[in-house]
Amino acid sequence: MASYVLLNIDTASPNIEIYAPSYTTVDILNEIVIQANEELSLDYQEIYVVDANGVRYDYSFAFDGDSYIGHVRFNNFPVGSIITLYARVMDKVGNVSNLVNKAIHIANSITLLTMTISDRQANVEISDKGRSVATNDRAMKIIVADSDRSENIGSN
Amino acid sequence: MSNFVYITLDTTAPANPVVTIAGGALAVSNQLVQLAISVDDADKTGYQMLIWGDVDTTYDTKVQATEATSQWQAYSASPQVKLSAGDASKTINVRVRDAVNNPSNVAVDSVNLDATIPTITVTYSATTISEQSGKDTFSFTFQSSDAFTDYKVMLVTSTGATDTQGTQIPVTNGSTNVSGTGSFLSSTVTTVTLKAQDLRLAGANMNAQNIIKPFVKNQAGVWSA
Repeated sequence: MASYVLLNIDTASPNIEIYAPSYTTVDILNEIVIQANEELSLDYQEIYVVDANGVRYDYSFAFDGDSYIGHVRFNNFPVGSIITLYARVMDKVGNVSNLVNKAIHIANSITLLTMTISDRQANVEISDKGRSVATNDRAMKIIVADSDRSENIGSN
Repeated sequence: MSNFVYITLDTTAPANPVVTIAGGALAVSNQLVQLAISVDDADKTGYQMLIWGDVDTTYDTKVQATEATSQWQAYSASPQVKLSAGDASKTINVRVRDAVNNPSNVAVDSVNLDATIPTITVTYSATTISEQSGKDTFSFTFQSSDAFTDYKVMLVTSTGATDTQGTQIPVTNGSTNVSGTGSFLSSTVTTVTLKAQDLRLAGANMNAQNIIKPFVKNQAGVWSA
């Protein structure tokens, strides 16, 4: 049997991140995860959305050890608006995290979500590769130089 | 098929062997003690150790009084040995060898076996508290093998610390039973309550493990170890 006690005094707040889509529609059921870097307390969660008019809507997520998970459909917010999701939780010994937030755009339809495709358009790399034609340009100049030389030879 | 062989001639012995008896305690009351053995080598695969000294030779046939009579055994960082009977200073020697039998230097540690030293047993459950209200209190109980007249609860830096090697935990923020004087039976179970803020005052490390150790003084005036 031990004759001493090993005790940790935890004064550090949990670090948390919000995993939620940046774009959604009123129809989509979104999985939102508030993920912490340590075990959390079941006794405290502060998760809410503030809409464009500053109105607050509170949510209650499911506890999952080091995270809180919620499935939310934002069908009570105007299409085209941007809402902000806020979250704050507490670790097992009462240290409260910072209040973190994430903006979510409410689009009117799934079509708008093809913005992802426009991200792919950002593959300007393809057109960048097109610039390799510049190498061909240089090659052409060499050919021109050769022809100049041949002209010079001809004139001599 | 290759027509050659790669071979490493290893002549380097395990570096810096260290043995510590009972967490570095200066005195123990029980013949059974735990050793902490280490060498600097990170990979100890295939390593062996040889332990000898002031031991009860009937307890472990591989651990005997002399190096010549002891036997090599698989390396362990925390083996248990039984000291020889009789209150006196006891010395333990350890040599470690690597997988190709390069032997280290001998590591030595001594401890004073004193059966009159009271033994403390603590009981606790929580291992983490904070400074937040409602979560800033830690409780544990302790019991002594002997009747005692004094006790104190100290913040120490090693499990083997003695009653003079630590910081008395204050009661400024509401800690209770961190010291006492009286006539206590060995059956007395003392409940100690510690506040995180008092541990901070005593110099506890925040966000790290701290060692808290109760000590009692028996009726002969001997403090526990």
